[in-house]
Amino acid sequence: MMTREKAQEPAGMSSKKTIMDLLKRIKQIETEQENSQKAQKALKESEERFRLISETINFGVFEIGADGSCLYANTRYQQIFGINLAQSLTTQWHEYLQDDDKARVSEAWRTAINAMEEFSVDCRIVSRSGKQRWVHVHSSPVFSDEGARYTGTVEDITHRKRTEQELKKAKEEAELGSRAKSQFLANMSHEIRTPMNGVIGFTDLLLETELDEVQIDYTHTIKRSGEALLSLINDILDFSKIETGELEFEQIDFDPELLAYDVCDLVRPKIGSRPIELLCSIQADVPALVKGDPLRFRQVITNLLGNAPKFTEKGEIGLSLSVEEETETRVKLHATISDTGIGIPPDKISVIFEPFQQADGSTTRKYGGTGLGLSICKQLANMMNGNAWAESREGAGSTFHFTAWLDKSESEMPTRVAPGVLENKRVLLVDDHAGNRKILKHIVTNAKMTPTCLDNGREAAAAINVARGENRPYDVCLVDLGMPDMDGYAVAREVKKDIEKPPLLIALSSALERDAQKCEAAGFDGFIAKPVRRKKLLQMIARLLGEDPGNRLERAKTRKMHTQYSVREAMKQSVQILLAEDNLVNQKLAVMMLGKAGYNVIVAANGKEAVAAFTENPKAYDLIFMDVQMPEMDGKAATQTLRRLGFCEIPIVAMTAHAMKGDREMCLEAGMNDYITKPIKRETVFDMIKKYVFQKEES
Amino acid sequence: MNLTQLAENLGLEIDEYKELIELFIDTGSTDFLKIQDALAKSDAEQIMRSAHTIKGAAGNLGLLDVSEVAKAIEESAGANQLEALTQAVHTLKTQFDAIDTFMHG
Repeated sequence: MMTREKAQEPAGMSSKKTIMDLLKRIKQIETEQENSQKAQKALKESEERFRLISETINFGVFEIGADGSCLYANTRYQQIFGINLAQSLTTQWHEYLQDDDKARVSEAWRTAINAMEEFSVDCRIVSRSGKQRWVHVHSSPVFSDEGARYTGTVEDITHRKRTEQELKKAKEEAELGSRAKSQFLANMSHEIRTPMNGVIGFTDLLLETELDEVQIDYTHTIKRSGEALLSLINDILDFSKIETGELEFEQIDFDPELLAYDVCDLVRPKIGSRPIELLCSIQADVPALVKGDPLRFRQVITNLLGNAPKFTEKGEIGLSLSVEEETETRVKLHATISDTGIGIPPDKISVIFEPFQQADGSTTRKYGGTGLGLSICKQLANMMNGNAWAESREGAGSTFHFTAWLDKSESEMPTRVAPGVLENKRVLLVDDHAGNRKILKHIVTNAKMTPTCLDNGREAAAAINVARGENRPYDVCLVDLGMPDMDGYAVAREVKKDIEKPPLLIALSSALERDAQKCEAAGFDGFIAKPVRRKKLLQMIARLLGEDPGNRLERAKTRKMHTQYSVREAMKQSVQILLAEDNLVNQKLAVMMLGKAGYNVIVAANGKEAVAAFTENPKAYDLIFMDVQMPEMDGKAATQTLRRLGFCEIPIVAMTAHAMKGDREMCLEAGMNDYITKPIKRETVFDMIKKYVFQKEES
Repeated sequence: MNLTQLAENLGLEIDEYKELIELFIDTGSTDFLKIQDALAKSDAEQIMRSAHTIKGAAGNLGLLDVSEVAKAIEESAGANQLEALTQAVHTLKTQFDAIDTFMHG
């Protein structure tokens, strides 16, 4: 350009300059025009591109001004809502919402606009032509100098939604079908169970009639088959309940230790006469009470422990309970069930917890079972946030593990053993089985007693004598009845015969009641069934130690007076009952009746005495029988006083003369647990003791 | 009176039951005297209390006739119908005597 201007210069300076300016100006305008055209073209192209995209895109596009009016809507938008251009500019999308969604979505939209937020929703609309559609509306604010606007898209998702709904429906139907099947299975199992119980029950009755040997044999077979079928049905019922998620877990307090011993009692008969020692060991840190489902917890342990005798011919079966982990509110219990049986091959150990799997296909024939038991155990354990697994050495035995998280109990378990009575007492433990000695030693050491262990009966009497001579006599001697060299009876006879002031003798027996009378004759003071329950043992030692020598003599005499009163019944002496009754005849009757059954009875003549006797030693009592009408302080007031003092655990059973309906309510309102009406019936009294003392301990 | 049966009902030996009956005669006589005394003084409250005691003890021992009469006395006294009591108190006395005779010949 400059070169051309220079070339025109010779035409005279002033005119030349003017022309130059003009030319410059023209050139400028031309450039501007050119630029503007270019820009316009670009704009047009851009707009064209935008329009093309906007009009062909499968999304509805809209723009809304600051005042809420629609500034732009594309063709697809109009199609979705079934409206024309004019309508699209005079209405807003949310006006087309279906009634069900209207309130909710409009509100959300208003909120988003007010807060200048992004907005995204799936909703249903009705187009102007009445067509229902699912749409996805997405919109976000655009900020500029002119203020805020909203641009957004509307996508027709009707098809997708419909497919989704169909899928969901299909899934629900499938689940429903599966549930119905499991439900059917559960119902069936339940329905089969009822007649099966009839079959087994009547087989029992049949066995009580006069049958010849062949008939007895056949009947036993019917019974065994019935029981096998019933347990199979129970397993299937449990399994289907787990599948349908119907298995409910209770949350109640229970004593894991008692539960463990109960399971041992249950399993012991399965060992029969085989030379197997059943050991139960509870670590001291296992809480006295935990909160969970005792039934399910017990089920797993029963199953695992119940398997052990099936596969063990001799040696040991052990159940131990310990704490694996602990938090502020929860505790993870670890149960270990070990045996010295045939063991499980390594390649089978992982599959035995699968449903319908057993270590050996022939196992079912030889050992029975459904193959569901372990699978149920594992699932139950998992539902308690724990696990179940096994370790084994073929030929050497198996160890099954079961863990479960349980809540810690809020209520404190009353410990009945007065610690002072046991402290520093010397105990001689005589048992040939090392495992048993270890457990017994553990129990008594934890109770602060001083144990000495002996592995045979021969040396027992001598050891007791030596200790006496050294002026550190034994207070208690625990003697296993079944020792190879010299059995417990012989030990007891020798000790009682040869030793002046012998220690208290407690028999430990793995057999049942029939040993009791023999124990009594041999001079034992107490009798405990194996596996030894820690609490029962300590309770018995404490009670026996607590008795003064006169009492001991007295007890020995009473025992002789009633020959049917066996040593095993002495277990009941650990149950102490407080009787509040003013009538002398009734007092005596109750003492006789309960005493005869082996219970300890303490009598209070009125409510005041009852409260005093109880508060003096609350841990000594297991149950209170409370006459309602008494002088000084009646039963109602005494109960209220005890409850107010915080003694909420002790069961109180009212004895009322009135058979009136209101009496029951009055008793329960006053804080009593139950009531019996006078005249007192023996069976009712014992039922109450069973209900409030024994069942309470068991559950 | 079938002592064997009564004792068995309570799950007791016959000797034990006899002991209870002796105690019942002892305490019952005292209660009976209290009733007679209270009847003379028209003390319905005391009659009720003593009759209640006899009723309870007799009931528990299985002496249902005695218990019934004592119950009737307790109820009449509760309703303050003392004049109706004389006959019942007499019956009670007869019953006590009968038991005493039975026991001691």
